[in-house]
Amino acid sequence: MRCSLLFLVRFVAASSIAVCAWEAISNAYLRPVIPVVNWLLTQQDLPLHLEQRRDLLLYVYEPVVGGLRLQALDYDSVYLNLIAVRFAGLSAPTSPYSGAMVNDFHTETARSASLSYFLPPWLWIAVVGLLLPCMSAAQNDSFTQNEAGLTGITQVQFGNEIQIYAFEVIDAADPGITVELGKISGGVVGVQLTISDLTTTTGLVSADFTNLRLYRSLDLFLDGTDTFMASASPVNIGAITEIDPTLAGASRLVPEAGSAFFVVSARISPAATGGHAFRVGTTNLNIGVEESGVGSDPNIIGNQVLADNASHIVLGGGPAKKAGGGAVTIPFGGEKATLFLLVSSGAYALRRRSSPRCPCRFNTTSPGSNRLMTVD
Amino acid sequence: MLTRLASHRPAITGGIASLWRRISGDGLRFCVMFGIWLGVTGVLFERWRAVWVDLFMVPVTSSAVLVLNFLGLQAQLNGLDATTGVCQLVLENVIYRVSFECRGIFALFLCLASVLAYPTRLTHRIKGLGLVIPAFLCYSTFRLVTLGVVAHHAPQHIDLFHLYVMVLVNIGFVLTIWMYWVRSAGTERIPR
Repeated sequence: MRCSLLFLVRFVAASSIAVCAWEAISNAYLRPVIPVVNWLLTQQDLPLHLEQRRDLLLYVYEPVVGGLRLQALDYDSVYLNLIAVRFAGLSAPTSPYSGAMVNDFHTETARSASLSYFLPPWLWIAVVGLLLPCMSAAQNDSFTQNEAGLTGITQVQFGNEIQIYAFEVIDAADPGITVELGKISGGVVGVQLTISDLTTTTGLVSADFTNLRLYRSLDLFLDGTDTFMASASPVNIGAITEIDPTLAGASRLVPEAGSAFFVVSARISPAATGGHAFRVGTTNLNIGVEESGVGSDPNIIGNQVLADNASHIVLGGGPAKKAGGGAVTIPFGGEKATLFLLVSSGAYALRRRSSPRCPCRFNTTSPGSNRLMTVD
Repeated sequence: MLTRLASHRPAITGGIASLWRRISGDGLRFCVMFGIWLGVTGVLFERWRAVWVDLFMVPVTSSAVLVLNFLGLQAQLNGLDATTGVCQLVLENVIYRVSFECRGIFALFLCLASVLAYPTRLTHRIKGLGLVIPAFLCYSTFRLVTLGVVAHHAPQHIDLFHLYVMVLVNIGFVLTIWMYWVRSAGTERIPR
């Protein structure tokens, strides 16, 4: 009996401590855990991350393909929420990763459109994640890859043309949908990008550019085989400039289950100012595509390219306006004068050393007396 | 007349001999040796350009880039040609095309030829080489850094600086280091 009582007391005490500890800790352990898990997921290139919403843990699956966003809540019951264009009754996202999208998860709209299952969220993530590429292909048949902005620092001469951005549009192989670059209406019509001055301004102005040009290319590089599609001018500095390719005809078409390369170039004005420099950046979803068969809702694709001071293009040869540009050469200079001065001063020093009493040996009365150089 | 000339003959021949001694003295020897050493350095340069690239050009330009970055200026080295040593020192809004002559290697050769040609003890010449070479490495780096700073803060004055100001500074630097060494060499006896 005494043992039983003792056990009861110990049990109550231990369980009380455990409950108190649980209440005290709650989900606080998630704070250090979530960043670590997210970092590991990033390292593994997995489109999954964790978010803490109040005391809840949110599993978010963000597939690269399409605009779907899958969220699962670790709570008493698991809410599975598919937020997609025309799928869950939600409006199309302006950005697949926006805070508004996450907040939608907590709205009744989202919950009503959600499916509720009593399954571990990670399992849902795994199961639906496998199905998601097929589902997203049904919604959006195109996406981009290989977006390339500027790399390093290069120079372009006045009047010349230089590649500033390239991308590849992929047709995700849904036979019912034809993908074409550029769309007729709404939001992003063509290709948007932003030309900006460096952080330490160089004085870049719109007049430094003749226009921006869009080409259909066989690869990601501008060359003579590329087909001109459209141009845009004037070029905005520090704001979006859009090139509209909708009148480019067959060049717009992305082959079924294939891909098409597009290159954007900047044509520098012959009257540009040397020393001006510019960066190139894009926002997320900067490319409009027409997807016939999807209905009236065209797609917007493209990933962000950050403008970076370390990657920019310098116009001309430098601040001193030089015809045709070219790098500034900075020869050491003064070699001829140095040669003359070295030889003459050396010879003079030798004469001084030979006749220390009289700097000018020709004034000495005794020619032999000025030779103090000794024989070792 | 002839007798008078004959009586002056020793004086004439002595004068010629004296003049020759004067001409063929240390000054002429220095000039000749200077020319020879300049030729030697030129041959060495032409024959082993790649070595000069590694020993002089890369250290100077890389050091300049490091210093410029340390000073908070964006600078980078582009397209270094291992044979010609030509590269681009890329700054925020200016690109310098840097070749051998930009790093002052020919001025270095002049200074080296002078040190080697100057008639003094071997140990003193070695000391001279030990003074001139590091000094040139430092100065060439300083020069590129200075032009980088000018490109950042006063790009409109680049031409003024590298065509006039830096040329005067270059000559002043070479003469200063040369005269310093010659003055110290002047206290030593000349080996014959």
